[in-house]
Amino acid sequence: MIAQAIVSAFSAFLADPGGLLPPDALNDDLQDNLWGAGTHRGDLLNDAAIPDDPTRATIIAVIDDAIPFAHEMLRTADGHSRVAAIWAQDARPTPDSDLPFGREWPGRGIDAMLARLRDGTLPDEDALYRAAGVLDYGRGLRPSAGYAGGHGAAVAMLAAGFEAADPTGRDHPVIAVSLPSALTEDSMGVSAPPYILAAILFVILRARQLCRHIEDRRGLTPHSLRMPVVINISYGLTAGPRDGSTLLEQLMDALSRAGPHDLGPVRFVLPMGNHRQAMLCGCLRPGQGMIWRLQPGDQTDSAVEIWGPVLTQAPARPFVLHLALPGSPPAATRFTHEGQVSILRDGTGAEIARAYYLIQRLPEGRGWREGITVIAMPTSPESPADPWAPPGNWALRIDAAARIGDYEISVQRDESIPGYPREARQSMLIDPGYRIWMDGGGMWRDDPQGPRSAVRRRGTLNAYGGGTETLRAGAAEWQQPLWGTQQNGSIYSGLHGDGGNGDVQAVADRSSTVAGIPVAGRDSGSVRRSAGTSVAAPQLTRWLAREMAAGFRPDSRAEVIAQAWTAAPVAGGADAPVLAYALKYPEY
Amino acid sequence: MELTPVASPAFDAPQDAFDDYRPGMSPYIHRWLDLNGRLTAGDEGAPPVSTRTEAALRGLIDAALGQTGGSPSQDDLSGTAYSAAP
Repeated sequence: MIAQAIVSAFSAFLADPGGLLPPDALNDDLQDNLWGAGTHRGDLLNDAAIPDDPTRATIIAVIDDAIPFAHEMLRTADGHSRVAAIWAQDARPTPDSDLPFGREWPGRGIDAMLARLRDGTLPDEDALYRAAGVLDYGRGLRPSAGYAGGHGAAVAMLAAGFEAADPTGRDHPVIAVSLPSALTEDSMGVSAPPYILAAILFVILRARQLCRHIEDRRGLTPHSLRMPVVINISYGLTAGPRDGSTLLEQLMDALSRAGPHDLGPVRFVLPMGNHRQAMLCGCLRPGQGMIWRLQPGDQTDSAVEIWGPVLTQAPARPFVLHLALPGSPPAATRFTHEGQVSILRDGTGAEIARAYYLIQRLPEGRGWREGITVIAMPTSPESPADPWAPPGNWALRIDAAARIGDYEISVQRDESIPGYPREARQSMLIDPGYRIWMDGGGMWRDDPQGPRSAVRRRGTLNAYGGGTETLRAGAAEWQQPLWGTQQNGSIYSGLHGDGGNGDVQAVADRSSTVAGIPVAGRDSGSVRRSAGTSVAAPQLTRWLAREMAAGFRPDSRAEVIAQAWTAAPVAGGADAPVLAYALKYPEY
Repeated sequence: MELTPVASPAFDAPQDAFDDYRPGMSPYIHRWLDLNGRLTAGDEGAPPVSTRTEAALRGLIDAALGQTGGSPSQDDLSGTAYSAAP
């Protein structure tokens, strides 16, 4: 069952000895009352921040990087925080903390900080974040909480930010988790899932406690208040089975179908991803091959995943992958059963790459899939004595004797995130038949008709988004594009296998020539420009939270999509509803 | 000058990657731990995470998904979608 699977995932996390967490973020002085579980939490929200009618409110949860919890758009008109709880996972814990790592600020604690801001004890918000312990340039961490235009600021304010004077803001209490900055830096997402899993469970726990707290303050019957929760996770990967079988996908689906009985419906919103044109996804049949191009100067690993067709039973014999390095004959994997690793060595015996063979059982008895993950060494090691992989064209080929069906190939994300210099260089798939440009100019927005290239634009959705219940937000352009349709939305936005640009689209670009929309910066009153499906997702989160506060109770993703069609103005040719875009900041 | 031929790249015989101690570990985490010499429990590079932290993380699952939102007994978890019991 899923609880057992989560425990297993945490076991993997425990074996990751602070790969993402600095040692001083670990709490070795845990108190007995772990997580404040079972405790009546009177510190979550000031009475003045509680919704006027809690039965017509929805909790908005944001899991992101460096969320600026003191931002004016997360306050009420009289200066109280609407943030019921925020957990900074890589902050130093306090001596009385009930969390195993990081630090939590409950709403009343934020209120106390805001009071110091008002009376001048803290000169500005930057000083507030330093005093709170979420910004410390001396710790050797990437100081993303100090970035003027951080990802978390944009996402959190799009999802849950309201003008302080807007009373509807109080209908949306906020629960937030700031993931470790090292997690954002590692675009490959090596250790991300356990932290995201912990963040989700933290949100659920605090949401339940918030309902109990409001019941107590408003004299409601215990366990009668069941506020819905919409959780925004603007993170994603580019490689994976995309079939709902990963633990993260399973948890999100399970919570969406049947959350805790004393909490309202839980819905997850993810971005579609921004890699439609990145040549990271493809499809092969047995006997077919393609090129996996590793870039020179890449100081990080490169990885590619190959997932076979859905089978009715677990495969008895692993398929064989042939891998030829530049200038070398192919080497073939020799797996015999699941859970194996095989090292690819060069003529001197040094490791160049390794391959893992896994079998994934699909949820709900839908079958089995086998997969091989190849992880290559950096092409540019940090030290001349370190092993490295040769850059250039690596030839991948599925053995002709493999089971008939589609073998989905996807290259793992491996790029430098803005603000996180990392000397990473993205590898990609190469097929001479892949067409970037149309004959008349302009980039192909979808896979062209006719003979299909093995490298595809379709199927490039976020690898976290393969579940049956999560909502995937595609990016759209605000101004009508030159070709007169909104089909496929913004040209970089990931596509479903059928070519659809997400379940619901939200404006993330002004036009095809002016990227991005104005978004909030870290500091109150600051504005910057940002694009991508990461800014589309929180708009869907915000819209859904408003709908659920008004009484909408979807039983499925399809119902949310149908509701969006009724609410959204029709954009000609759009394959997914496009949410109305209210231009919050004047264009300049 | 004589040139010494170098063998072509080849895959080693496969080894079991995931033992009982770490069921379901992802290849990415396994690779990171292996290269940092931290795969075997009890090594000098053993995780600094204490057993209390492990209990805390398990407690988070119970607290978030249990019947009461507190620290429920196993009975509270049985029959739910999250139960470890069959």
